Amino acid sequence: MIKKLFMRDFRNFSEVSLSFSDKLNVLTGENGQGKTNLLEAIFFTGMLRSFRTSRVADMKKIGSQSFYISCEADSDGKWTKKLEIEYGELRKLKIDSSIVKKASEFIRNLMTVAFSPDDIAIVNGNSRIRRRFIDICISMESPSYMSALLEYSEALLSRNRLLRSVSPDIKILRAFEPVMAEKASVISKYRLDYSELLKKEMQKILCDYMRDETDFDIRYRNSSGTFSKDEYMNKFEKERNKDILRKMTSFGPQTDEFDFFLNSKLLRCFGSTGQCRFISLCLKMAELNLLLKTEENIKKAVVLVDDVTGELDSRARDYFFKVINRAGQTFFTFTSVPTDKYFKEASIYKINSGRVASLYV
Amino acid sequence: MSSKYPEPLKELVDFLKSLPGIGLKNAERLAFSMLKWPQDKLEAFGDSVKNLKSSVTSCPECGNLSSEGVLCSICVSASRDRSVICVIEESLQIYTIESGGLFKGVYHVLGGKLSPLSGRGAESLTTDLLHRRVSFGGVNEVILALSPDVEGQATSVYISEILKDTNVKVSVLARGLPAGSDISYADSATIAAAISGRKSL
Ligand SMILES: Nc1ncnc2c1ncn2[C@@H]1O[C@H](COP(=O)(O)OP(=O)(O)OP(=O)(O)O)[C@@H](O)[C@H]1O
Ligand SMILES: [Mg+2]
Ligand SMILES: [Zn+2]
Repeated sequence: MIKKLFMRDFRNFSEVSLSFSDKLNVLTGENGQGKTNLLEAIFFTGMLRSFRTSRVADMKKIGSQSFYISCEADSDGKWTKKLEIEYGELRKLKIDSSIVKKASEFIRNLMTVAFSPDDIAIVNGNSRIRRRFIDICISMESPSYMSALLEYSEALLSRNRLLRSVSPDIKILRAFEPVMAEKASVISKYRLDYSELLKKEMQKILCDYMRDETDFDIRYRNSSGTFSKDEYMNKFEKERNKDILRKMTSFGPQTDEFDFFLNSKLLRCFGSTGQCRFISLCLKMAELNLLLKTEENIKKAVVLVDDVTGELDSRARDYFFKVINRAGQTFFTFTSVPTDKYFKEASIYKINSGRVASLYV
Repeated sequence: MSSKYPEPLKELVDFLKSLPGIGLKNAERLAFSMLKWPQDKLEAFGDSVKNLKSSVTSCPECGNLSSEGVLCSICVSASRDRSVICVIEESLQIYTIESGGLFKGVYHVLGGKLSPLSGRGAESLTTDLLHRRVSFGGVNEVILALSPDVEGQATSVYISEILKDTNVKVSVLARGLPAGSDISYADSATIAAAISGRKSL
């Protein structure tokens, strides 16, 4: 859980220093004042990426060269760790003042799950957004998945660059393929396992929530049709000449798809807006439930809820709060102080053009 | 911005500051201490800087640093085992391996690694020379000691492919925990590599 947060030149915040409640925090303020930005800073401290699909460079306050976030977090109930991020030309990460080189070592300290109105795109947006959702879910639990992803994408970028050159050197192309095959095999196995887990969790949630039989299914479509390193190698052998003509790598984890079905209909093609929104909320609840499987993760979990609860009916709200409540610490955003009994004990903050005041009501 | 130093001194500070690990404070200290040097020492220093490029050359056999175009000290040494060649990216790494004192073979400096993303291809590496050395005969093993990142791994695959027709044995370094380190401070990728490369006792 986050005890204190300091930000410099992050989005519309020049310099802000805050302390938070262990349990429930509510950020209020009119539109465009910085509520989502504050959640973004917390999410970034946990995951080193934005929950919006924006570039890191856009997070620097307009006109400044770098931003800095320092966060005191009690990650396993034993002692408070200080997490620091400085983003200028390069990224610098520190835990308790010592430099951390690997992102995968940094992100295990705070496990952030964000609920946002944009989540609907997980269901009805393009396949990149679905892969990103699944990748974040798995990375949180497994640093080796995250490093496999990073190494795979570096090798993929290299191979694609070679394919775009005038006459690609076959020997060099082939040199990058074993790394790709090895990592792709790791990635696809994790993806298959996680989509099975997610499907079971979704079926459970839908059954509890709807109290009737809803038929929901997730199918992981592995674009390479294989999970083994050797078969990936064969596939490279078979596709290489075509890839040279296409000037890009035509298969692999970057073209995988996850199909979501509701009552046997593919949601991204046939789902109504309401169905897509509802399923996206359930997917995020499923992600959270899967994350909260261990005591350790419950302590590290920080849930961020941006503008989500407004449109839920009262039964859906109760269920949502029940799920969220299991996490250690939560942050909500609202345009005005909520009157709901659920927020009776919450610490309330008021945000006004990048300045934050704590309200005692 | 006007400088607080006379122009020649500022120029020296700027040169020194461009060296790795030297900040402004250090550069100033170095420059001020050089001001106190006797003239003949300064001239000798100047000459050594001036002739650096022409007097330090690379060894025609292995690419290691040497002087005036002759073989390097490792290649001329009679006690080195010429049947084992260790391939490294830069000659700096020879000194690291040498300080371990265990390796008795000879080296081959590759001059970098394959990096399509920074536009470096095979022509920037000395692989042809390596192939020639191995085909010439007398070499039993080539050890690839490249960095274990994506580009290093790809370069290792590339070299072993190129050397295939020579039938030489090609090996790569084991990856694992640094000696004398505490396992609880190692990152998970290192531990994973060390576990998969474990040996029976
Ligand atoms: N890099 C940046 N530098 C300076 N200001 C920024 C930057 N990025 C965004 N902003 C400003 O931050 C404000 C948006 O903040 P944010 O999205 O957090 O609003 P919000 O409080 O969540 O509003 P809403 O209730 O509408 O969701 C905008 O005024 C925007 O101009
Ligand atoms: Mg907002
Ligand atoms: Zn030599």
